[in-house]
Amino acid sequence: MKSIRRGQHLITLMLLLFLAVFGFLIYRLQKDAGFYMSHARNAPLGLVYDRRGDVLYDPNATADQYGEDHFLDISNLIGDDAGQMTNTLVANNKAALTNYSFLLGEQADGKAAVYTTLDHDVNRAVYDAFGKKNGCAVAYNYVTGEIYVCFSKPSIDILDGYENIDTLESGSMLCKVFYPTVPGSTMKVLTTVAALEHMGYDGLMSRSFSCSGTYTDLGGDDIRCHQRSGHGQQDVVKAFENSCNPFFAQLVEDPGWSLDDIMETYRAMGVRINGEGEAQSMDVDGISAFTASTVLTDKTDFNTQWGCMGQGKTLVSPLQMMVWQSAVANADGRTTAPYLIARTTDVSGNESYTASTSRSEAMFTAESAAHMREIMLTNGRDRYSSLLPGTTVGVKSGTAQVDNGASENSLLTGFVDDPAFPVAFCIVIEDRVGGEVSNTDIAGKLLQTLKASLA
Amino acid sequence: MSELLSYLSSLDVPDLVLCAVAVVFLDVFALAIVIKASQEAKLCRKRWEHVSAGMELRAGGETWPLEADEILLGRHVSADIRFLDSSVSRYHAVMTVTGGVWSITDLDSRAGTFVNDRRVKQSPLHAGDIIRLGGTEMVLCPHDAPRPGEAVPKKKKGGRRRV
Amino acid sequence: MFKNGLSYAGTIILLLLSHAAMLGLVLVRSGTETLPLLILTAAVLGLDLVGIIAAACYRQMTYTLDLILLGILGMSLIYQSCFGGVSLSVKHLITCVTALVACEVGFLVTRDHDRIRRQKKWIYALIGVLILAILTLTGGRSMWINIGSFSIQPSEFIKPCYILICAASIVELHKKVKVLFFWVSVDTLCMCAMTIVIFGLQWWCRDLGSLPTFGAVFGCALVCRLCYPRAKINKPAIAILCIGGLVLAGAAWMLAPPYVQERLHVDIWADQNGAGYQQCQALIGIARGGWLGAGPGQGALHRVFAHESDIVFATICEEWGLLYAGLTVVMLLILLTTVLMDPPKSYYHATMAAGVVAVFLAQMALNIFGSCNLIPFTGVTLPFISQGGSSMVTCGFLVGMLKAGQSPLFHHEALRPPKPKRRTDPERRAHA
Repeated sequence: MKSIRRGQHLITLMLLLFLAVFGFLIYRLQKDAGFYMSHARNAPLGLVYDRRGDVLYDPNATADQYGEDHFLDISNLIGDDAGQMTNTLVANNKAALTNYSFLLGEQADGKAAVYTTLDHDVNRAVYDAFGKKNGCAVAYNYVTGEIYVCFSKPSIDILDGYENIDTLESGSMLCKVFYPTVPGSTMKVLTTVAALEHMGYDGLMSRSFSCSGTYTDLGGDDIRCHQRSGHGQQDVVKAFENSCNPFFAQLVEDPGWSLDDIMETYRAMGVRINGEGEAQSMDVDGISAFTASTVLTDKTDFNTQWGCMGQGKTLVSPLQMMVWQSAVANADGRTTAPYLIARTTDVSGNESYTASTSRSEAMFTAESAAHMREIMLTNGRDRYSSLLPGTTVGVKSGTAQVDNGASENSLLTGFVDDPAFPVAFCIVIEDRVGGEVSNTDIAGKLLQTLKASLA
Repeated sequence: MSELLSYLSSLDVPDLVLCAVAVVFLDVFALAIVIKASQEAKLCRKRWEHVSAGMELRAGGETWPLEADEILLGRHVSADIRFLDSSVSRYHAVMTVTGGVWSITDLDSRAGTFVNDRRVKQSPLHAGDIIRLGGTEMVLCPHDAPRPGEAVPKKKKGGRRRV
Repeated sequence: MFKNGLSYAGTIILLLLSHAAMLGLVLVRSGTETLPLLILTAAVLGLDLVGIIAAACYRQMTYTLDLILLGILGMSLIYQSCFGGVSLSVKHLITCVTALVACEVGFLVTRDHDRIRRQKKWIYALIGVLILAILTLTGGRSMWINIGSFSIQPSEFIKPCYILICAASIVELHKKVKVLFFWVSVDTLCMCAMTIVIFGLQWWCRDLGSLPTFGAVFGCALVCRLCYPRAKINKPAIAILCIGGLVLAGAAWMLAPPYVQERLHVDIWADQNGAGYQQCQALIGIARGGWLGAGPGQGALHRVFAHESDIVFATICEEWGLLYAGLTVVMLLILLTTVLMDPPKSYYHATMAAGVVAVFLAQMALNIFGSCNLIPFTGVTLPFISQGGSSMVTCGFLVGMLKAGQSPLFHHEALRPPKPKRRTDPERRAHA
């Protein structure tokens, strides 16, 4: 009878609904089981390799097997699963490394692995070249995005474990490449790009300012140049080479553009200005790289002018500085996203992921990029020809005052003008006073060793 | 496929066999339950035949089996037995059964409910009773009663007891 | 052997064999000693035989529900006795027996639906007593009454009573009275009023996990009553109800107290050792179990709180595998599907069956999908599988109600012929 059949239909509907959702649950459980397992304690993990098959992480590593200090230069980048260093490759890619599948369960001898783009030999060579100095360095292919070199000193040796972490130097357990630091004069690259965008090349080239060693800005404050005697009358190319502070202060004050113009270009390049919006971070295969920030209030303001020259409240990570080079080096204003993982394999050895190149939207015009490229190459040709003999390297150096002026960092950022060796880099040497090691030495070592290795 | 084979070969054979056996037994048990339930359904239908005295309603050429212990008669779309005659109210009457005896209860219909030409509010029904709802007439009779045109079995003298 | 004339020998043998096969699995894969396993075997097979003999004592039209129930109870006893190591769970055995008893009680009480209808006011009274018990006997705003080492959850007992209230017969739905300008069915009004009281009680006691269960029963009752007078779905009414339901759900979402908000918005993996602990461990356990499980007694989830009740599905998956756990759920669904294979013959039993199925499915959905992070986590038990006396008794009673629908008693208000009038003396003398 109809009245009873209606009740039956209701029951059928409820049963079918439950079955459908239950079926979906079963599907989801077996699909996401790897993800769940990666959060388990003592899940069996696979290995991490560099581009040549050298081991960068082994859950069962011992010093006897690999030698002392084998992992020293990459410990705070690659990390481990002990949970102490969370912004590392292993900590953020445990699902890919877990030797587990729903069908096979946990397999201690599985073939799960992560193959990175790093060149461990070169990485270690440059790490050692720092000597007693601390700092960091990063280099990547600005066409494909592969990161070849990335390390941060001081570092921790994960073979030593974590019992003595109180005795470690401050900063050992994080990779400073991803954390913002005072960029110093390397920020002038951005300011120059902004000027090219808003004044045009001809407009910018027509600007000529004088440097007598000190410049009193429109706000009444003194901007000092690192060359006491001053640089005399300069155009932007010369001022860029000289890294002249009074020139750039006057450029910022120039009535031919507004502070909004500067901020527009900065924003397009991912700089967070005056705390607006949410703090962003760039994702490099799970590792978070914190984006740049600055405070700009008024063109005539002392701190704003220094901000545009890489002091004041400006902070940029070495990674981001390097990535900006790709927009200039590729001469199209588009950055190439960096990545560390080339491919991964699952527990059965099948390839589960292959990296691909990704380029951003244009941050500035190709015209500005081409001109900026030329300015940097001129600087490289004139002042840094020893970096890679036979090849021009576009460069900007910088000196950053940190710790309220207590010490200075030395920075160098740039790109190689060679389609067969398209490398961009950023190097930071902390506490440069003392000067046993210069950023030129390090950069030269990096580029020459890397070129030989990749050849 | 190769993953499945390597997995199966990695298991201990007794484990695998026992898992398979347990699963198979459970599945077969479930199947047996389902088969038994359908057999029981047949049994329940037979019991219902007994409870409802195997009665059905006939009108003209139509036949309505009586399959629930409360049956709504009316013009409404949701009525268990639906009549399209406009003299029949939407919810006209309800038929109920007790111990093999069907009864009809009028639901305050406009045209009234008549059993053997007598207007009733509530009345038991017997085989052969003629029920009239508005302009529609039907007769309550067992399944196996011959239809009009077939040979009519001789009626017993004395009639049926009427209340 | 059984009173309906059918032979159940094959089914009974298969029941015993499926339990024996499970016990064989325990023997081989758990690596346990012989004595605990022997005790468990005796308990399981003993429970089966006692249940079969008890069922044979009653005259019923159907015995499949009893047999499936025995199958599920036996499996449940084996599961609960193997968590973290093989050892008979005596508490669970006792609750299984009480579930069987409750099943028979439910059957006997609800098979005469006419009597239930007539005694509806007593059911309302019973619910009132249970609500009073919750308000006065539990400590603070709790749902539990603790007597020594036992704890009772009276709100579980409200469920079958509520279903009986929500079920209605055709005749009842047609009894309308005029209230202001509307003709309303008294039964429907009382049902709605009781629903509001029960919802209010759940809210006050902060047991929001049971709200969806009561809501499901109410929804079924409403659909049956709304759709009943109209064969086609009453679109405007359904639309108004859906909108009303969504508005209510939205308001509840926004106005929910902080501890509920946390539960609703938690990202369990970000808070693995805090609010998301149980669900994370449950999912990791399921992953570890794979399709065939780590083996009975070999799991690690038994160290997690509520592994035997709230996340029991994951605990079974870890030890027995997702395949076997899925089959257990299928067994529960077959229990509910027998209603479809053998439909009731009365509208009252049909709506009652829909209510019972709604309760079972709601609880299964809340427990399984909540522990697997498909929906927010609630502390609701899985029928017959989770440990919990009140829950077992209630679920047993509910299955008894399903059985009653298949073997009902048909007794309406007897329309017996009136007794012949006693003739008065003058009449008798006149007649004579």
